[in-house]
Amino acid sequence: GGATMASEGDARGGDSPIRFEVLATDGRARATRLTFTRGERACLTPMFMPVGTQGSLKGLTSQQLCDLECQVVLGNTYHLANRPGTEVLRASGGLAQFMHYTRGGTLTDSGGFQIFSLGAPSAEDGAEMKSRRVSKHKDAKGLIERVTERGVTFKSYRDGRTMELTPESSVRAQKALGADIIVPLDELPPYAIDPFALKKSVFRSHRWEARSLREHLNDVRDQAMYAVIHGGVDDALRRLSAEYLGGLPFDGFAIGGSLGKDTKELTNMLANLVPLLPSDRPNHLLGIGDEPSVRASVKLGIDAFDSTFPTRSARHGALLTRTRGRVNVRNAKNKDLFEPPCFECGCPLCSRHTLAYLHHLDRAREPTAWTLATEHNLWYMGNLMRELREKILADEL
Amino acid sequence: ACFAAMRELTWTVVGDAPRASTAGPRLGVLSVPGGVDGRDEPVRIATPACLTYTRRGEPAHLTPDVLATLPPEARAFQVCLTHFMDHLPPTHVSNCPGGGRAYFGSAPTFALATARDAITFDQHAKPSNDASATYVGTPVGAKKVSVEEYMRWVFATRPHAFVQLADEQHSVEGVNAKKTRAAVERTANWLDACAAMNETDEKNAGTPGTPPVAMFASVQGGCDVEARRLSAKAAASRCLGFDASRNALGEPPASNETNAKKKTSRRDSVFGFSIGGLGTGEAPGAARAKLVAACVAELPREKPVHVAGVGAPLDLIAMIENGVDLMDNAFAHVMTLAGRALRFPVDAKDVEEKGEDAKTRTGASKKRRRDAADDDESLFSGSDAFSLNLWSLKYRTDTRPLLENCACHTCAHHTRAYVHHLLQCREMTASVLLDAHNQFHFLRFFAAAREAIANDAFAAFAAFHRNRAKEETEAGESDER
Repeated sequence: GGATMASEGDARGGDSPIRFEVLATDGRARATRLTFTRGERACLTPMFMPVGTQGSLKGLTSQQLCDLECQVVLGNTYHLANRPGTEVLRASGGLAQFMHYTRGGTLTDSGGFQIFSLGAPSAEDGAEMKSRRVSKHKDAKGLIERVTERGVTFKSYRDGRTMELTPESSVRAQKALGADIIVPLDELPPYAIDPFALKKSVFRSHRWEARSLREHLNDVRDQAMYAVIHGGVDDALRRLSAEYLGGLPFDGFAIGGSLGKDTKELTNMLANLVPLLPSDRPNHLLGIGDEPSVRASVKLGIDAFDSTFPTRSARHGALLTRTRGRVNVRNAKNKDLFEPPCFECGCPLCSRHTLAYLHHLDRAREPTAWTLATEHNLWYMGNLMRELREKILADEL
Repeated sequence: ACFAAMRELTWTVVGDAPRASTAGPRLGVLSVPGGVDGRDEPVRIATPACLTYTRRGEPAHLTPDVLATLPPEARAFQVCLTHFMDHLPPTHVSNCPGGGRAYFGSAPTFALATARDAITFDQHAKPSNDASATYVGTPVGAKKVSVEEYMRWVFATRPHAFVQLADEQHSVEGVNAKKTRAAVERTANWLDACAAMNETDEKNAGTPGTPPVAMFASVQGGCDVEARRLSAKAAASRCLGFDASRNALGEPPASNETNAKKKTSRRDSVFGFSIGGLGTGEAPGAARAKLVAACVAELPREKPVHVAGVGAPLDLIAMIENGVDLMDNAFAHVMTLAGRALRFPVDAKDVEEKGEDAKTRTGASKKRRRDAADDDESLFSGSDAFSLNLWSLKYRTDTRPLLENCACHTCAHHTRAYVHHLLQCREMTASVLLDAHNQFHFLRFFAAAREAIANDAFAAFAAFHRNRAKEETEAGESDER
């Protein structure tokens, strides 16, 4: 392992809402401790953040999240601002109080991802852009009406009325939600885009992020803001983005935009990008949760991940297990398998139920099946990240 | 014999003899042999008890860790066997290592198997029209089920007790009397068939010392009081020794010839009685109470009486008044599905403790009746005397727990605003949180009922609830005016 470095996040001077210490390094990988100074809540990385889109992990109570030792939960500003709305959340004392998830931290995104991914009409976009439920308000043009320097004008997927999202309004909404980590508004271009358009988009993202940062710094409120590095798979653009945003007083760096069409493109991109990020602040890879990518990314120095993959696939019958690898609960061969899905897992599903039983609950479309499967997959991700942390600390990665 | 008895399910009345023998509320203890072969300490379940409604053997939204936040009596389940009758045969349950009972991950302390879902009551299943089988509602539609197949499922799942397969009629007025009698007779025949198969299995049971499955005889008869009485008599007769010279209904043979068959004194094969076909269309209140009273009058009082599918608090009070010992909490689950949180005080003491609620019920002004935090008075919330409608926009910013001073998991951690939001988003967690609260509250209600019986104060308890409901309704009506 490498030397332990402590950094007070002093890029901006004054008290930082997060304290960041690198505990050990192993090659490029690193194990760190991220502490939210408000409440002295500490998180250990590498870590995985489940996505509680509308203020809950589907089927799980906040207490179960605490039992899972979940460290940070992600909420989507776009959905929460729609419903229940920022006023309700402000009146409830913020997202964490509203959900009553006070053990760990919360992160909200800017809303940009949903707007661009739910709004785009094109079918040639990559997998990350596909919307799963087409809104009845979406016509041939899509939900986005106009993207200008000011911001995005779009139709709400719920009731079709015209709304506007600007860097300033996104940050104001995130202030009402009160998450520990917030994200500036960025533009998300599709994967298939010509280099000139990509460059323009990256520059616009930079301007929006700078505006978001300024709005955030007017009233910090103990929240940390992560920049979002863009540039697609173009190494030069990624370098440019990292250098520009790295020079601004962000508290951490998220890697967003198109991450390549497969793990190989992702790792190539990260291999070039991560060394360019300031090493005294945390980084975060947006939207990646599958195990091969996670393992590869940790080796390249990524600290944190978020994804709907483990929880969404649980609801659709895919369990991640150590004993059997990936299990498709709905497969007929599981109907008589009277063993726990995973022998090495201590979650409520594996300690008390059998795969045959889960198979039948799932076929009967009982919601309990989804809850059990979701709990299990989150246990799995928690174990995976803990294993990676321990290997880094022991210099065995 | 004593050792064997210890390993069997038992139910005994608690309290003095007069209470035990007359129809009326009474306390009892259901003693469930613990562990395998009854070697561990038996589990004691106090009655009148509320069995947890389940789907495919598990509470509908509660995983074992959330179930653990409820009181221990929540783990007494009512399991509907037709939930399992979809794609696979009974062997897929019985092949589970450790036997059928090991299939249930929540490890219920007591499981009573029934043939009808307590909520849906197989509304779309066809009425049976032959002597060998009846139609039940399964996840894949109406299915014809015979006694043999039903008993196969009973033996495969190995519950602690089961209700016999019965020809259940909907209790609606105007059913042909002949039809009702035929159903009653069929039910009695099937009682004998179930008993015979139960005995056979006990003799042939794989593991020596496996306790037999205790059987509840079903009492049918629809809305016809006479038929109910007849059915109850027929069921009761199986306890005392079965006279084969009489027909299934216990009536002497039509002709004057004495029957050559000797009186067969059979082992007492009936553990308790389940009054079936209730909650299917009979008028609640006095009409239903009359049917139940007619049945209970004919049944031996030293055995427990079970009623499924009768839900609301006032209805349950009427059941307990008429001597019913086991009921189910399907009502709590129905409230959850409707997005409602139970909030009625469980007894008079509860009202006093809750303070603010207490002030409202005695002719107080309209203004005081409103919740203090209600900003928008014009929103009609759809809540009633027993439950809150959490879909209502009234609760958007209400940061109070579902019910003040409630000790359940949901009220300890969450707010009305949050559950309202989850409902509006159609999030699954809404059902989890609501079920955790509603079942907790329902069990508290039953605990209060038991306490009232113990203190000989059940009449006051019943009066409190009835008066409260009446006042709430009247006050609500005057509000609207």
